[in-house]
Amino acid sequence: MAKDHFIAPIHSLPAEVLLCIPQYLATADTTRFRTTCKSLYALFTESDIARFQAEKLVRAPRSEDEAILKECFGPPTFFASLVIHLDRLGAPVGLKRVPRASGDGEACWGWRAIRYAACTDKAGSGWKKARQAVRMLLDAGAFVDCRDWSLDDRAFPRGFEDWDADCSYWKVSEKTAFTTYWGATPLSEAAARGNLELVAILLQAGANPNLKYNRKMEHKKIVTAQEKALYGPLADKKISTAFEEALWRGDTDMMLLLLSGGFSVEQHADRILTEIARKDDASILEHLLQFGFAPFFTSVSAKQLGMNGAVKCFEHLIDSNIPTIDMQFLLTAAAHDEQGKLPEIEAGAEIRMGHCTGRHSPDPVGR
Amino acid sequence: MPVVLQASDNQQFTIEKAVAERSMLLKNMLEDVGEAGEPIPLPNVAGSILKKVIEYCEHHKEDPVPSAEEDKDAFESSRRKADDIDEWDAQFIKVGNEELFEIILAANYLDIKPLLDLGCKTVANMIKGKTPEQIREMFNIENDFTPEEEDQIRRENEWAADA
Repeated sequence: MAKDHFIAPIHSLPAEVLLCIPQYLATADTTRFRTTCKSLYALFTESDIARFQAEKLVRAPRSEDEAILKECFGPPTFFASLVIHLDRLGAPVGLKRVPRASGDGEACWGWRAIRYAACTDKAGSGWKKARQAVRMLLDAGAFVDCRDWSLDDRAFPRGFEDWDADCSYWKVSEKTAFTTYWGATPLSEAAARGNLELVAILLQAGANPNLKYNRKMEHKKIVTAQEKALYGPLADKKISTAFEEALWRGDTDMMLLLLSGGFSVEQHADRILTEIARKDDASILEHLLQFGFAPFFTSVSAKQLGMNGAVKCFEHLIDSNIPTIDMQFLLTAAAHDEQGKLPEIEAGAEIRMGHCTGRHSPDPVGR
Repeated sequence: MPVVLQASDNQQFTIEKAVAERSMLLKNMLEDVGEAGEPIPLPNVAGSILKKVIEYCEHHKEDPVPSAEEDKDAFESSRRKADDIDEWDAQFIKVGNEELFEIILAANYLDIKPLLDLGCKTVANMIKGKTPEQIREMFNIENDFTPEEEDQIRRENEWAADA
């Protein structure tokens, strides 16, 4: 039996033996092993690897979740098939419902899968796989507005059930909620990455573009440089929406898509104006006005915006030579003039009136 | 009552029944045929490998047999970690690839689950963190993909390339 001159290759071992190996391997290692030759490639199908990792996940102690999750991160399609498989096995992956505060910690795999797909960056076939994965998950009954609420479920706020009732959970414990929770939706993640096709799929599946979430990043355990580059100034902004992600990126196609998907600028007008004022970019305002949203400037509270924000916004409107602004905006701003900025606004208004009518207006607020 | 085992090269080994019963195959066999005293032929296992396997069974003859259903979960979770190999086991399994595969095959044939797991864990530890090329070299695997196929496979599995 001695084979001194010939070492039998590993794939000559019986299949039942080879299939024992992946349970001790991470997905990535199993995949590399699988891709060494044809017989091993045929032996370890994607669903087999999913099954091995699924068993691992079910057994995983709560504290190891993040590490195991990373280990299981393959392409989004793989992760999606894994979670769907787990769901079919009856594991509490939270695929079909929003898990309750009292729920098991493991109940988060469902949302992680769909959000993970939405978080895919455009690289190679990345977005294609992300779309495939999201479709698979939605077909399997995944909840489209599932949120990433926290890496640590122990700090789960009471009143979580009201999460979608216009963020009333924030009132439960504002401090805790704001510093601990994140709450981004798949829609907002896809919008932040400019993944138009995926946003369209999610909107079609009924994703709510008006959901707010905490954009402040510092509570996250891991904030990579890449994330900082991706979110830019929004990284330290507390409340955001998918639309504001697109706004920050200057992604007009995305903004249009979200508006057509039911995003209400009026609902979020104060933050959007603040953002525009802060960003100091008139082109965004122009875009918004092109979308036909001029009227909201009339109803917005200049007090909420703050005097500086109001003046800045107004200046942009003048610079952009926008003819449709309502004087009500000026009146509101003037009513809250606590810092003696009114002369500036009046001067601006005069310029604006000059732009619009071609003549000097002696009494800009008296129409 | 001792049990006599006969390897493929006719080498004979006389061992205690408790040692033989580490192997589910031998345990069932002994239950079926009783204690006839005849040597049990094991045509699939070479003498040198059988000697190693017996060494393992001798060392572990006192271990509890995890057969009861209620033990299953604890047992399963403990054996699913690749890095918690017992010191004696680690020394025992420090063998060449050829011998390792033979031991795994013998453990599979004789149905000695802990030894099979030890072998698979060892293989898993050898695979960890290696590229397909390194794995091929280590396990004497010939790359039988055509360049086009390999390109396709690399693209399909590129997510694992730098993980």
